[in-house]
Amino acid sequence: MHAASNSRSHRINRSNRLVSARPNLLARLRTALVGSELVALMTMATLVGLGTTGCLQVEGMDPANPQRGPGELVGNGGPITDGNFPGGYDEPPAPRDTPPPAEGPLECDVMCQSYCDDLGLTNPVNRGVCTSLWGVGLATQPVDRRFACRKLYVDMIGRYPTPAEINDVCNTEDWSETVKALMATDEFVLVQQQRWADLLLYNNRIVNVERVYDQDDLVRKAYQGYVPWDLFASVTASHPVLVRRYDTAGDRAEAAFRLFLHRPPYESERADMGRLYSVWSNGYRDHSHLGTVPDAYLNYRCQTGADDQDTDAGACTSVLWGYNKLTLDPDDRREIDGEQEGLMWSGYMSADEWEAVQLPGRIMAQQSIFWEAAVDDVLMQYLGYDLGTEVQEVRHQLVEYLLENEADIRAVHYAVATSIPYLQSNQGLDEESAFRWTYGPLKQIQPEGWLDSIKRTTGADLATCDHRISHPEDYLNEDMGANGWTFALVNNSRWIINQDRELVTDYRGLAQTLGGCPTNEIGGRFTTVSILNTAVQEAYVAEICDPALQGGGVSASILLPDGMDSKTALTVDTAQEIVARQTRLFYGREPSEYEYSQVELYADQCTPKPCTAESFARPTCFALLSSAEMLFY
Amino acid sequence: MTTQDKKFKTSRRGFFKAAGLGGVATGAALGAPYLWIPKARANTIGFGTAKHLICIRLSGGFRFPTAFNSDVGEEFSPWGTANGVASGTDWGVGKLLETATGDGSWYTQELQNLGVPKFTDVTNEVAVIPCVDHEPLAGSADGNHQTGLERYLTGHVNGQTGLFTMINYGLRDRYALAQMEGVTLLPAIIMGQPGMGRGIGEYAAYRPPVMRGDDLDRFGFNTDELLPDWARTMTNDYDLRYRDRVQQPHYPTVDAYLQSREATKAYAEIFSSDPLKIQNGSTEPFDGVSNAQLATVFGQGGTSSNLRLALRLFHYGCPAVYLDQGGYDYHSGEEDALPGRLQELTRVLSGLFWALKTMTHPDGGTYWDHTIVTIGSEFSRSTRGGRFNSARGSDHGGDYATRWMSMPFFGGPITAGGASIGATAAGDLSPTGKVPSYRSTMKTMFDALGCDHSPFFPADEPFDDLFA
Repeated sequence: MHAASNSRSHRINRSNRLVSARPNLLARLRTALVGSELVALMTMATLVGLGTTGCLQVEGMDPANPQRGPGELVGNGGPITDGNFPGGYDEPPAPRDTPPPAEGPLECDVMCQSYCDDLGLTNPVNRGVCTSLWGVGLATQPVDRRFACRKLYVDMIGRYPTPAEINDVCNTEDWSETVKALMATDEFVLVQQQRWADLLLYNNRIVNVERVYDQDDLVRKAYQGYVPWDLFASVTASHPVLVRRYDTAGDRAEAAFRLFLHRPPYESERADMGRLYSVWSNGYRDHSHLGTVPDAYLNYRCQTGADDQDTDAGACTSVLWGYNKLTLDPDDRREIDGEQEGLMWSGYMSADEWEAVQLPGRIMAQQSIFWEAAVDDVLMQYLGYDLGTEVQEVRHQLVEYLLENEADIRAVHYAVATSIPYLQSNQGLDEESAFRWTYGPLKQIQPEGWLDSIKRTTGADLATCDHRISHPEDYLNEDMGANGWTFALVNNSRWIINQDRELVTDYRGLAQTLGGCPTNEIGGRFTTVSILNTAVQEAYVAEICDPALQGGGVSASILLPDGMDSKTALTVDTAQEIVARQTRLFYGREPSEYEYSQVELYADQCTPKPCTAESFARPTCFALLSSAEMLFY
Repeated sequence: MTTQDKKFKTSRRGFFKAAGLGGVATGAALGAPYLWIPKARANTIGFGTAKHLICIRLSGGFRFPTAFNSDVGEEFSPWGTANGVASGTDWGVGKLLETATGDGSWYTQELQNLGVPKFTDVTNEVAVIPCVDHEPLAGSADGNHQTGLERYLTGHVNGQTGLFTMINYGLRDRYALAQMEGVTLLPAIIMGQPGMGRGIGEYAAYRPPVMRGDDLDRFGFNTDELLPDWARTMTNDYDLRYRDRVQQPHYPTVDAYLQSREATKAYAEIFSSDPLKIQNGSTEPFDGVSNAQLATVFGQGGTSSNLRLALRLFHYGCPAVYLDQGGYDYHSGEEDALPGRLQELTRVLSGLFWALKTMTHPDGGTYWDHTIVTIGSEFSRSTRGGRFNSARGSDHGGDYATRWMSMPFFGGPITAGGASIGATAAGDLSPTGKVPSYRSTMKTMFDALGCDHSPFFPADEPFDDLFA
């Protein structure tokens, strides 16, 4: 077994190399960045974030935490920031007293610029958008706190809030504190992990599941502030979950480009970056516990020769972004026979070797577009549209903010989630607006979020799925090589196994039909409105609510106000109490005056008479849970 | 060991096509007057002859010569060919497609009494194209699971539109006409990898539903039947109020959901119908065959359930069903495991012959007359020289053995039954005949269904051979 160096000198060397790269980055970004202190801040980010440790264990597997890979080597020190990011929530300013434009392009004159400067906005998104919003006389749409809470919960936690959460977590003096509280939760991390699972297309039939767990934990480190964004990208862009998924060096380069630069490479870039990916080969390994697993191998196509006379170094040298040569030294860790003869399993790689092969990510991180893509990603995640392109000053401000905060990606989440463009209502504006940022976004909740919200508010009995293991059956089916270890792996995951040692698939069946819980053979997740999706949603809500009172559904006590008996005779007051209870439970708001007035009508029409509280509550549950208000936020 | 032939072989017909293209290019370069008039639709002689298509993917990468195109060297076909195949079968039937008999065999006396044939008795009704290739002009095979599967599902790596989305799009006029006549037709349906239903832009609206067997009951839900009048009003009110409350730019998004709720009611009647309850054990014939009989013939596994459901969905206008079968990525243990696994496939094939020929079609004749069945995979498999690799399995790389999907086709519209459309050299699997692209092959299936396939794969034309 060959273990990686754990020496202090190694850690120092690695840090120095990365630190020395940052000034180059700054030079490249100087048109986009201001503030000389950025160099020092970025340097600190790298030093804190590295926290590299020792070797990768090769033998054995902990089924509760099978993580194994390059993610283990980074982010093992303290957090790179304390999470108390500057700025945050600003009171929405009034628009400047000037006729608002009806169409673009928008021009911010001296008066406009001066107006924005005097506002004292602390949030980088607000600062960036001001010259295209309040400064030119455009107004924003105020949002109700409960509505904002609902939106924030879906985007950060992945589900709607419960009434208790609205009253507690979202009832802080300062909205920034609410955002920080949610960012500190495990659910926030899980939402980001699921998102990266979709982006990297986790699939245990294509990549060794230990690698998937490793990348998943790297995501955790990034979103808990242990790893700066450029280091995260460097490790991810050469992680086995990415390189093992593609067949050729060019395909790998293209995947990395799309992931971190948001564009495909030009042919020259693809070929050039591909040289740095040519060290990878796809192979299979006989795992002591998992059977034959697909994994990444190093092929030593380019070797370090004597007296610096490298063998075929040109084939592994990138020259488009500086002279970047990638050579590796083969030794007796290589396979000596079999299909992978001459290759080395990536599980044997030392920390130095991992650092060497992470060159593509480091090169990408020296380009301004890398940082712009990082903030655009977050903007898209929360707003659902490309504000960074439509108002480029927002992107500029956010990039600067990200780098000021040690490249801690949480800073961008914090800034966007506390910004006024995000905290706008999507209701009430009667006319079309040419400017997307003058009203709130409306998005469709993900299938898992919809299901989880119903589970949480109704107590419905439903399993779950685990994005790390796309095909858990492979580890439970003895015909496919399942054993005690693989069973333990699934049993320790989020998948649910019943007493007969079978996978509980009710949640997955629903979610996959609706577009969630993807197996990621290729594309994977989708969110759509279609006839058949709607049919499935309606039918599931009917199962939960039992509107026809067929003896099923969740307990009536969930749907009724505290202390109300299901047999209580229905009156207008009773009906209004029931609607109020369910509106708070499912929508997190009070019924409107109009809704209260309509209840009288529904109660009066309720059949078969005499109606009881339950016979009114169950159809009401269906009406509310199947409504568009549960699907869009 | 197979190798790539450096002098890529092409058929004479292919050569003339290539020459023609070269001629056009030359003409254009010289500034010669050239008027290009695209054909509105390049159709085959089989255009519109099929109403239904069943696509079965042998998942994980299937070693085709173990079943189809088996009359080749033992490094490709280690079990050899079957005995006693139907006369008139010109393609190599794999030994593993022989129906196992004796204790534990699926081929029970009950099935024999029903008239379920052994597959080897009907191979002369199956046409095989030995060399379907993802990229005929590529230097080597694509032996990567990810990209191979993407090609299988969409025709290309990173393809944005799944083949089944193309089918729904291609039949859009038929659906519009039916809707005008008040008839609800089911779309093409996916029961396997959802990537077959990719679609963005103008194709997004034609994405096929992805259906799991255990979710079917939910498609039959009808609010009008379950809810009292007041609750129906209440449900509509909440939707309408929400739609009318959102800002004007968001109105269409919410309205689309409301419209889908209305349209759902039209499907509810179909999905709540008894014939679709394939697990109900009903002995009442529907289209001439009961659910109980289908269960007896196909068995109870996942693929079997999907197939039984597919045959029922066809009754309601569904043009195509895609499903996955097996798991053939045998890097090890193939020698022991594949024979048993292929008995499952043999049963599926025999069952389909029986069901399609026994079931009466609403438009007349039997389902056999209107249905095509085809089988593919993301790629084939290689051993790089031996009968098996060192782990008694097989792998996938860039060679011919990986490259050729030897795809079978059968059903009434396939008039070339028994034929081998193309061939390979027994020693090295080099192609000695037609090498159609997978895209051309599937476009031929679109064509048989009567789809407008003009927007798709412009460089890959459908071909007549299966209908000759």
